[in-house]
Amino acid sequence: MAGLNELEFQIDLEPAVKFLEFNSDSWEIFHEVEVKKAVRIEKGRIKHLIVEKEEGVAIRVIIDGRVGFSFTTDPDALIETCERAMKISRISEEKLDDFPEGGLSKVNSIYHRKVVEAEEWLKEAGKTVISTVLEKGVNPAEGVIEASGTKKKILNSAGAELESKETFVSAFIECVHGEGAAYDLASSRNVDIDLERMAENASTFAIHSSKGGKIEAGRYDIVLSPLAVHQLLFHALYPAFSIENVMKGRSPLANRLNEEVFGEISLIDDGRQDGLFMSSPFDDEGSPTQKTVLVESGILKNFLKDWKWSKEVSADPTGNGIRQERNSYPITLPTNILVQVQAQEDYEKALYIHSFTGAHTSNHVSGDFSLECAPAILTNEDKPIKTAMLYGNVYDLLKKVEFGGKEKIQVENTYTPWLKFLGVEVKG
Amino acid sequence: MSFHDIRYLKTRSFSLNLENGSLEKPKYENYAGKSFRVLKNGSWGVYNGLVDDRVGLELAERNVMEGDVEIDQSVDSGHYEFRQRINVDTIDVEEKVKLLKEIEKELKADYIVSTRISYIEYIREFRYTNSSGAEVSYKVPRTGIAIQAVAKDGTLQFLSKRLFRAGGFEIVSGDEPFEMAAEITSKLKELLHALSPPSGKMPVLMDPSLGGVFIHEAFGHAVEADHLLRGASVLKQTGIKVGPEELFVYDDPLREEFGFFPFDDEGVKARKKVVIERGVFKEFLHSRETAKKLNGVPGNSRSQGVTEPLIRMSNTYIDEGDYEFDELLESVGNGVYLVGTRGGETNPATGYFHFSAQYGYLIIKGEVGKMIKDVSLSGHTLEILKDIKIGKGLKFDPGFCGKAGQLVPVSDGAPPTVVRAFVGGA
Repeated sequence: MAGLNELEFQIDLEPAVKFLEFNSDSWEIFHEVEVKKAVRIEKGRIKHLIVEKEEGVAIRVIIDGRVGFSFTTDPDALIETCERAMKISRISEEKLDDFPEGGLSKVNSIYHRKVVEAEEWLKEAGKTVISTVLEKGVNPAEGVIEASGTKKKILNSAGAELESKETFVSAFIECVHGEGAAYDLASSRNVDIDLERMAENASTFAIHSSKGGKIEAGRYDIVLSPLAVHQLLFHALYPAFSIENVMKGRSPLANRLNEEVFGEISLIDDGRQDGLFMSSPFDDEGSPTQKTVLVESGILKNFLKDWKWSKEVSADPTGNGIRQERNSYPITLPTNILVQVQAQEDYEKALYIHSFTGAHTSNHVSGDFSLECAPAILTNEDKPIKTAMLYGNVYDLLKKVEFGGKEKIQVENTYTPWLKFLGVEVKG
Repeated sequence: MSFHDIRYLKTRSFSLNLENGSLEKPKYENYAGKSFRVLKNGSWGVYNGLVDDRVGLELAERNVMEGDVEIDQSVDSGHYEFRQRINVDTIDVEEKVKLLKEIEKELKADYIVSTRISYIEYIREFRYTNSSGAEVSYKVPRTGIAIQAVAKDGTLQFLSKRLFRAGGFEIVSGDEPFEMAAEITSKLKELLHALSPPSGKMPVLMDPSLGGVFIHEAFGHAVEADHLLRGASVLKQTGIKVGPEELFVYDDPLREEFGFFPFDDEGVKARKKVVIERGVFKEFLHSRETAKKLNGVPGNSRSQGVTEPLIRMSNTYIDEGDYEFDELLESVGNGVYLVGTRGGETNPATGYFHFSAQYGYLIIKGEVGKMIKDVSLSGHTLEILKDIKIGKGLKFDPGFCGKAGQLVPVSDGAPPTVVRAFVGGA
């Protein structure tokens, strides 16, 4: 029974490989198993420990140049799943000639055995977070600490046979204090995240939030925390770097290669940097990951390409064929976006924004956003702000970047320091 | 004494995407999953995975710790099957593709640079058993079409609409998707020349689509009792006055909209819940656990797949009032009329909410004026409903509601309404 918590495949692909070899022109099998363990925190107690294991198989076939796709978690439905993919290919206008032969980049520190056996660590981690928050006199209202291991394998008719393992640990806590609330999160590839720091941040901002006052409307210099930087860029900017969006008229960056699009900021997609959360030897269709400079000192240099769209534009893939979930088609998505700006130790006067509410409502086609900053703090007056509204356009905002901090933190896809922007319109 | 329950889930889905006239990313999915929960020593131990029941329960029990969890153990039983008037399996794939291509013709205009029409059919087969003797099962299909277009004339603007409900192919086979596409085409043309919105606190006339998201975000999330149990809800008790006499708000999983379910994911029979009656907050939404602790009625637990059941809304709506649309406009005087939604977010702990409209219009002296774009709305749960004015003509809009990383299908409804809220935009 021990094996049921282990990071091992149970589904035998052999019959599917034979079936697809015989019945399709080209084929691909994406096989993934994930073991996830989590403790949930509710109002200062650990509510439960969950262990889950899910294994899934995604099939892509090409018949007469047309692509079909299907997915299953049911070991008894493997051949039916292959047949469905073939059936769908008949009506598909998704075109491909073949799949990548694939390759591996060298990436270190993305798998740590300890994470897969983390039950006891999770319980202790939960207690640490709770006690740190309680010491501040704040309610640790809701939280989750999760440790997961994933093994993925790609087989295809072009000869790719790739396998990799990775681990991921994440923690989240939302603290409530009087009428105020705030959250923070932290992640790592290993069981080494700084839980106290996360818990202290969330507690401090919850206290700020409870005392928060109003802000006068006007232009302010603002500082975005790494969390706020990610929330904004992920929703309002990153879709514009996808070559598919560029080709389909959905990117304001189309036709602007080698033009100055932002101020002094560089954005680099790097899928093979050691230890980062989206790093992997190969992307979700087998192309080796790489480093792609998107913006260099404000100049637009490149776009991201998965296998299909790299062929459409006669270029090499950039290792950005990513499946949002294991049951999804690979599409062009960022891996780790490294944000580089001039680094400074500290800043003086600014409105510091810890997190945004509603970032997903940003207009990803135009880059326009109107976001609630909650919580925020006017640093020169040490004045917490209950709520402020930030309006603008991400392309205008990135022209106003002044500098950033020295320490970089990764929040999901974004590896960034805090960033300071000059003269941004804020409303109360 | 211990309690356990087992969930068995099978889903299958088929989706099509017509992107700029080309049928991309067609997909079939066949999912099977199981979840085992054991409640012992006041603590849940959970294991999710495709294993035999005996093994699953043993693995779940290993994860039990200590705690003070108690649950409502009310027992339901029964089977429900939602009948599709036109079964999706009786329609050829080719015909589904043809429908999308026909709808796309309504999106042709020189200013439209990109279009996407998606079709989805999804069938959820669910079975639940527990150690108290409950045994329920159901099979519910959901079908729908989503339409999006991007227009360009200097700036890029996009609009989208969704038609999703519980049911079969009958949902998409009428005129409705064609009318939605035609409306997107005509509104996009106006949107290219729309103004930036005014900002500040002002009267806002919301169309039913925005009004639905409004009640979901501004009030509905705070009604989920898990927030209360964590000490993280601005709504601390029932019986408080939050709005005028004419305000009635319901959450009704039995209404045949996108958020329909006959039994919740803890095996409890679904019921219509009165959230607000005559302006008074009446009832929280409950799981087995919060119902026990707070003396409520369970039946609102839902999961994405077999993940942990959370307290969720279903079909949440503001019931009809007496105002004619013209009377609402007149009551606004100077303000804005906001239409459609791009989604929103709320923090039940603080009561602050924020969401975006797809577009809107200025209202000047009670008359609808020029179009405005990229406009958002924010306010506070306990303030916002106080002076709400409610019109006639209830309509629902489907969506996916996210909570703790899980998405579930919901529908939000309202007639046209007027509130005072903070408006802003780029």
